[in-house]
Amino acid sequence: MKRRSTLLVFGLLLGSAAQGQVLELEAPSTVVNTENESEGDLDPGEAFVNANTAYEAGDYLLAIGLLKRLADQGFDSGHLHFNLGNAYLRNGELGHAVASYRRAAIRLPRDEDVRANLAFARQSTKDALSPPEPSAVLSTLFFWHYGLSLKELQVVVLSLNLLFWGFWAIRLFHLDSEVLRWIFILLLVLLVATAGSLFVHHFFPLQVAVVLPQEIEARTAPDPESVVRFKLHAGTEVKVKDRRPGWLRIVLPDGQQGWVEEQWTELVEG
Amino acid sequence: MKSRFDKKISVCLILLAAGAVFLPSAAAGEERIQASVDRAEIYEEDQILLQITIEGSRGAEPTLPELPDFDVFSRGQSTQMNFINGRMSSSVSYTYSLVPRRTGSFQIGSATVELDGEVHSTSPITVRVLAASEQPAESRDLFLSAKVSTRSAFVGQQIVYTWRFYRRVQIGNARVDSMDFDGFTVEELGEVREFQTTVNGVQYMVSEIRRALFPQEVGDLVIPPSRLSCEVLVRSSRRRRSLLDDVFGSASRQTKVLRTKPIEIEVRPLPPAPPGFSGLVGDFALEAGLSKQEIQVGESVTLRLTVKGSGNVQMIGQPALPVLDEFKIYDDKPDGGIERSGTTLSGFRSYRKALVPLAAGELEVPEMTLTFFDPDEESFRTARTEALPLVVRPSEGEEELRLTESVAPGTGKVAVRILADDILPPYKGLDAVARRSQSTLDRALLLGGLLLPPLGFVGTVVAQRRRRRFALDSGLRRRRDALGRARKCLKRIESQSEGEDAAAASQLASRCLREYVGDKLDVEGSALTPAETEELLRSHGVDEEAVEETCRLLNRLEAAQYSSEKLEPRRLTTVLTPLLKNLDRQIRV
Repeated sequence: MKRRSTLLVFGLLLGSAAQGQVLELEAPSTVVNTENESEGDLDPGEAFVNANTAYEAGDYLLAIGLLKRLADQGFDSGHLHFNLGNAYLRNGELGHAVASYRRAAIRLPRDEDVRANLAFARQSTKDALSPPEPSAVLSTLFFWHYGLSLKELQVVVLSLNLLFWGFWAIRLFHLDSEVLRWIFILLLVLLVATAGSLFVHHFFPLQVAVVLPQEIEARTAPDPESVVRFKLHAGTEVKVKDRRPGWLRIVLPDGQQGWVEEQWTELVEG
Repeated sequence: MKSRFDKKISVCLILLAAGAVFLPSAAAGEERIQASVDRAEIYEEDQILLQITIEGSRGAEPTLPELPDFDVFSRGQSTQMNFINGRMSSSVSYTYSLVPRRTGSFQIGSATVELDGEVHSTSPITVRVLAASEQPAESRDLFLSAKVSTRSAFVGQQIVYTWRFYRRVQIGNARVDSMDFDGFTVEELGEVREFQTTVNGVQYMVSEIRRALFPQEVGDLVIPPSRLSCEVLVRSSRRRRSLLDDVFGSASRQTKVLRTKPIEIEVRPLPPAPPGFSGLVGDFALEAGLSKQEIQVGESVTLRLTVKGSGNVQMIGQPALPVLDEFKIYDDKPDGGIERSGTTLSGFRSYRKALVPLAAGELEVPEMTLTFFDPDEESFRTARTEALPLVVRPSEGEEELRLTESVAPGTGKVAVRILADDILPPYKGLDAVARRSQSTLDRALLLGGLLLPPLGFVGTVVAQRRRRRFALDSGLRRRRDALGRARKCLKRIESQSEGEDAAAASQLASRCLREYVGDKLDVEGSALTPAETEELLRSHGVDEEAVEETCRLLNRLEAAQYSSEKLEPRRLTTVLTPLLKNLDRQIRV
């Protein structure tokens, strides 16, 4: 109980401080400071159960705090982000919720619950912008790229890598085998496709900025004095094209670009 | 003298005679263009064929006069060539059909043509166009009629336009050229009807077209004449019928153009409309009914609302519903139909609503109204339904949230409606926090997993190549195995020490050393003398100290075989082992 009240106080204090900075902008309110609560790590199982209990009791702020601490400790599963998204959404923080669901979807790309809740959260966004998602043609053609999580892709690539080099080594002793030749070619194709996908995931990840406050302004230059090109609203997902210290260059689906302050967005990579 | 005078008279007579012969032709030659018509008097349904003939020129075309009373259609041209007394003359005939636009007496003015810089013209021709009604009834083979149901109507009122084509001769290529209804909305009333009728005792075949017209503008509207053209077979009366006529036929085709009279209609505005006027003009009725009279709370009942009648039925819209606070209302797809086969345009449109009562009790769907304009009574009328009572009993079981509503009672089918949506609950499994992400370790594992298989492959390739090389090169194999074989040999010497046969041990040691050198340098080792060994070792870069030690040892071993000097086998191996290692290190092949 003491812990819960501490979280609330910190959340409110930091939330109001953020509101003061942006004047009319409604800043992301929940910034739960967990540094002072305990020196050591939480027991992950207990914290996760407590977070779910708090969620069911309607104490979404506590649930957010516990789940965020687990995330800070290095727990990065899709289900953790899914629960975090639920807690954010119930707490009225659409931007954080969309970002968390998006992270969950990257880690659990075929999970229907994640997709359903992400779709639900997107329905509440104000801007009529389609989120940066691959087209149906692309996601069908490169199904392994969009249908597998990074971890799954790594396992597939490592397995194919082992198989490929193993078969090549076996082929050295059985050069005349036609079956081995075709298996070798098949493995080569699969390995190139999946390794290429892994390469793209690692070195060119899709960067998406999710808007956190009720409204932010996208400017023509990374300068708070520059002209406002357009405005975006909470929960809107936009592709990030470039980064400067404190600023993100975003691109709308129709190609329009603008600079937004990084502090008003949550960046999701993958 | 007389004869000379007679001659002069004769010449004059000949010249006169020649002038008499040639003058008419010369005068005729000046009329280079001629016009003629096939008939000077026609009925308005007929047409005149105007032929203009130009003599002597094949390129010039005539210029027709203004003919405002006729529609003019070109019927082509024909060329005639004549040879008379060795002289050739040519003429071109242009034929036009003139379709009269009205009855009366008209003059076809002069047609002109310019030939050799001179303008030639035809003489005017007077023709008379008689009204079709002037011809004797029994001689009217075909005619058109058009009539409307009323000549005075309100805006939006249905007017039935009936167009009939009467005929009693065989026709072909019939075509209605125009049937315009500017200022009206037009709806077809069925297909073309064919029937027989008798007019003034004469039987005709009739084609009838009906249209429902709805005037859209106030004022005097005119339905312009509708025109029909067709071809009629006409037997020529000038030619005598011969046997060939029956084979090739002597009839000719004549084009007839028939017209209806223009119809004027006076369109009046509607009187000031009362509130709730539906926009319908005609005779309409409103019907309402409930699928059940008694239901439970949570169940649905279908309210059917039907507007039907004749008039501008295409304008039928949903009548205004009364306030139904006690019900939740769900719309269903309306259906309807328009009847075109009757004498007027009629139809209906049905609207269905699924009503779900919110509370138990004796409820009522209040009366509903539809206001339309009745042109017969020239006033607005209001059709009403009666109030529909509905008894709603409390639900027998515990009320549940109904996600489905019956919209088509009787069929048993229900349409699923999403009544509310929410997020799915959080994940409870503890596997969500089973593993901590360790990016450094993960990356190391990934890198290891990616690099180890190719490294293993490279190792396999190297090993395979080495194996092949040794398989192909026996000298290489001997060199590789030289030290190993020498060591085995040394072990045999150690085992012999127990047998106390020192001479045999020395012999074996000597052979081990020589065979090692032989294997290493790919020569026959067992036959090497110390001197040959020394030379071989030197030539392969072994340092002097090792060479001398090898030779000295070989000499001592040979001496030991034949003298009393006894070399301890264990001491032999102690000396030989470092020497062999030293040689193995130094011998370069």
